[in-house]
Amino acid sequence: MEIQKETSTAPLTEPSKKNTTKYSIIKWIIPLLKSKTGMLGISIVAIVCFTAVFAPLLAPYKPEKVDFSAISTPPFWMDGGSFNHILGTDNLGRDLLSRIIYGAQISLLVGISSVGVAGVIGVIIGLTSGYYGGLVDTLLMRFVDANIAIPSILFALVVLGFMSPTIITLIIVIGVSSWIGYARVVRSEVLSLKEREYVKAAKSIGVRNGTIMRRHLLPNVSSSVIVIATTSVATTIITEASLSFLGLGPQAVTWGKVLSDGRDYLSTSWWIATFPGIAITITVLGIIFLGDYLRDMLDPRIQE
Amino acid sequence: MDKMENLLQVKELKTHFMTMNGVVPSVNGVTFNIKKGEKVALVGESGSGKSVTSLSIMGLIEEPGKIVNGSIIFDERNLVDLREKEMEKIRGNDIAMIFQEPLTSLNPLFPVGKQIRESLLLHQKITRKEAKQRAIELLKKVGIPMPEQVYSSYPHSLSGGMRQRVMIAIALSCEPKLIIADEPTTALDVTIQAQILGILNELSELENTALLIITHDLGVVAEIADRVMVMYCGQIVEEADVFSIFDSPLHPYTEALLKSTPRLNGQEKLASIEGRVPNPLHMPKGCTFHTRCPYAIEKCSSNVPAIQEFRPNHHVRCWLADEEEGGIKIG
Amino acid sequence: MVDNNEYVLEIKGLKKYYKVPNSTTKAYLKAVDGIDLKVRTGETLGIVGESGCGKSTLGNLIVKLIEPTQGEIISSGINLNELKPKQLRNKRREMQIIFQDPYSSLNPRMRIFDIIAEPLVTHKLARGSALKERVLQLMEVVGLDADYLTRYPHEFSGGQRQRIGIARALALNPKVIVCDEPVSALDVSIQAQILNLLIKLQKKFDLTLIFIAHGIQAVNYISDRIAVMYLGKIVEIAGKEQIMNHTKHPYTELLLSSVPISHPKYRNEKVKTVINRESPSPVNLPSGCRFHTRCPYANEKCKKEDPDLVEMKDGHFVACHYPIIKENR
Ligand SMILES: Nc1ncnc2c1ncn2[C@@H]1O[C@H](COP(=O)(O)OP(=O)(O)OP(=O)(O)O)[C@@H](O)[C@H]1O
Ligand SMILES: Nc1ncnc2c1ncn2[C@@H]1O[C@H](COP(=O)(O)OP(=O)(O)OP(=O)(O)O)[C@@H](O)[C@H]1O
Ligand code: SF4
Ligand SMILES: [Mg+2]
Ligand SMILES: [Mg+2]
Repeated sequence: MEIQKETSTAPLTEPSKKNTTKYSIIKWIIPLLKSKTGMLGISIVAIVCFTAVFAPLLAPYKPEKVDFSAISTPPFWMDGGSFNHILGTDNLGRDLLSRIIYGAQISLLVGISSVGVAGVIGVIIGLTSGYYGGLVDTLLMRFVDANIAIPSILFALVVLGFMSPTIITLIIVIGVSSWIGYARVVRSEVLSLKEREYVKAAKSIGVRNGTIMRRHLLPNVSSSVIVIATTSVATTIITEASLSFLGLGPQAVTWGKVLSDGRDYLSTSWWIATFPGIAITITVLGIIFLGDYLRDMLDPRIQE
Repeated sequence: MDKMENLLQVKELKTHFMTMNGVVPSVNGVTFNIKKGEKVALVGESGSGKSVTSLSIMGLIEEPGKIVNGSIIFDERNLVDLREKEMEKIRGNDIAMIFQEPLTSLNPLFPVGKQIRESLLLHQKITRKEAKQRAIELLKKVGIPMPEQVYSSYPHSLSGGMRQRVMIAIALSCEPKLIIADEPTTALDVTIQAQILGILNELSELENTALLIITHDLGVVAEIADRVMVMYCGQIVEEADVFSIFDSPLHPYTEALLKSTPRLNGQEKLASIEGRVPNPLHMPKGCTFHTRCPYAIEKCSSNVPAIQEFRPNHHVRCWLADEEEGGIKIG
Repeated sequence: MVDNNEYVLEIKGLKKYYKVPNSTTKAYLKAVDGIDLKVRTGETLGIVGESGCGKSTLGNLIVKLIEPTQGEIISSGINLNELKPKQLRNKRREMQIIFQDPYSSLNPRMRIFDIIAEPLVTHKLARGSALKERVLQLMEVVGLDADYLTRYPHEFSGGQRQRIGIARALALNPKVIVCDEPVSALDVSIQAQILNLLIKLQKKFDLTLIFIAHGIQAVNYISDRIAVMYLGKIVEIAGKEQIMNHTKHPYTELLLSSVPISHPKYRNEKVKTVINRESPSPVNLPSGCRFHTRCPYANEKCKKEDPDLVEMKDGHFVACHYPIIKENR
């Protein structure tokens, strides 16, 4: 076993003696104001959430309202466009802006909840199998291997083929089919973290295994979990879109559905697919920025 | 007196790192000479700038580091001004370096013998066969039992001590005039350390190679050095022959280092140096040691002392050695 | 002196073998290979030996961080093997450990307060203001400023972190503290601070210290007795003076002669025991005496018979067929 010499030679900043407030909100706000991407992220996410919650008030039309007099109207700045339909309408004359505003509701709900489901399952499995090792680990990891062999979209297709595609089933199916990434990453981090001496120290004090996992391991894997979670909100929204495209999405307006509706008309009415695409992209970026910021804030070494 | 000739002259060397948080003055005005065949030790604690000094000499400082001042004269040439191509010729040929962790300095994909042979072929005009012969001789020279067998072993299959011997063999392969050894024994066991030090000592004497040995261990200094330089916060605070350093240290830091090192004989309580090395981004004003110095006077916290020759060939950077203060009060 | 309290810790035939992964034959790495040891109440026992000889494994076995393959540990009359998990959790309070690496021994996401309070909270010994008071008191004992209470580990230097680790170990008022190379990773000028702190605390709280190190100088400074380990076994154990001045095992002699001299004036006096061989692997232990491959005194008997650890003089135990017998100086 090699001797680890103190390698970081830079002496640390002298711990300053002021500022001993323990959990002050200011500590969170000031860095947020300073961090441009953090600000941007939180603004985007806030706007999207606000839109979703107040959709009925914000949207000019009902999302399903068909208007045969205005089929495939382009956005207002183009020839034939009008301010009645700022972003234009689709092939059935439904107002695109309204559909996107309403779509935020289900897309966010599905995106965030299924990431939550996947994250919780993945982290629990990764933690236990990494920490206990042995048979538990072998079994779990065999299961993970088997699961990798089945593409999650296939799994979702099969399950949704049997069940009626409600929003709840969709969340569960997407969540259950995508926990593996979390489990693998958490497990491999735990494998190295559990050899750290602070984990040994906790054991020698008599701290219970559950507490060790919660107090000493979980916070230290949180950065990777946040990174995976924020990026997979994006994939989830897209998975939901593909399912909608295949006709297995929920019977509701979602970004994915609007997008897939527009795919057939890309050559004639490009805007139908483009605007929901832009909405997805901006939201995903916002979530990623926010995730980055959260990750830094949760790490006392980066905070300053 | 050929031996007294200066081989390496470092003058007012300043190597700074321009980091995000500010300028780190890792080496901040270092001046010293090494004569032909001389064994010099550079001691100091972690972060004092020992490795940066040696890397500056080797021309291996990388971004964001930069030599911002001073000259390094080796064999009448200023290394600071040399182009990378010319520097490459000097590295390995005239100056060789041995690092602390031998595993990372050896290529894991080639047998060690081949690596020595390549080094020989690069620097000398000999045939491959001769080179192999020489390589085996070198392995024998650094005390490796069964050198033919070790010749074709891969680095990972050798122990730490063996790898360090191989590194020494590579360093010797080009018959350098100066070997810089940066903590060559820190990663090794005591019993192996003793052997490696023995080999370095013997070989440098045999080949009349100058040796700059970097260490934080005063025991290593006592074993091997003719002359000692003590470094603190990027500056040399004391320099003298090894006996003067051990018998009558002048700088309070040197004195404290000696008194805080446990030894086998002598059971009195260890004196500890309170506090810690200052943050390089916020160096204290005046003497960099004044925050920890038991003898500090008022002047120490405001004015930077210059290094001066207090006794013949015994230099010190301390206000207490200043004449105004009536000479040193310690030591 | 038949006193129940004479020994806090008795170790009998302790072994820890690790299976060598990917080996077709059943090969074992014998990290600890049969250790008998009695630790006296209130003493500081030093354990020295080269890297990989099993010092940390022994330390971890003593505080029950790992399970022995064989053998038993008896702490104040109680055999740790026979304890139920719940009893073991309580027993842990008596034995604590301090680690080598001040950087990985503190959870980077926890504040100093939470780190030092963890043992107290775990055993429900204090809460609220009493908890804070106790933490502050511990910080003072180890020489940490009370202002650092809500800081995170990364804001501290190696020496300060080691103090935090010591405060955590002291929180439960342990009887025994295993110090696994607590100063090896520290700067020279900081090592003395920590050594002196440990000595002070040992006196103040009547602790029994088991001080593990690979450098015999620090062990010599702090210990009352010294055990020398080689490849998983204790080869010599005796009082410090005895070990230093009346060395009996050839390996101890080698270790002592390898220590760098403390002053250049000893350069010529030094007897050089140049041995080119290095420590064999703990997977393929040599036959007979495990030191015979490096021993200058070895003969046929040494290659065949493994010497037992026997008492040569009061309290001086040696495992060697031909112990060195020197005249008193
Ligand atoms: N690449 C770099 N970027 C920024 N700072 C650096 C860099 N390399 C070295 N330093 C700084 O230069 C200073 C001196 O470092 P150096 O490695 O020379 O110390 P040292 O005396 O060799 O210490 P050690 O005993 O730990 O090897 C340190 O404060 C270190 O943080
Ligand atoms: N979990 C483990 N699995 C397999 N081998 C191990 C394990 N822990 C330790 N070992 C091996 O056991 C031997 C003894 O290790 P140990 O850490 O006790 O040595 P040590 O004396 O503390 O050395 P050091 O001075 O390097 O800390 C080593 O060969 C080591 O590689
Ligand atoms: S038993 Fe023999 S080989 Fe072992 S230490 Fe003693 S003399 Fe040496
Ligand atoms: Mg260095
Ligand atoms: Mg160890």
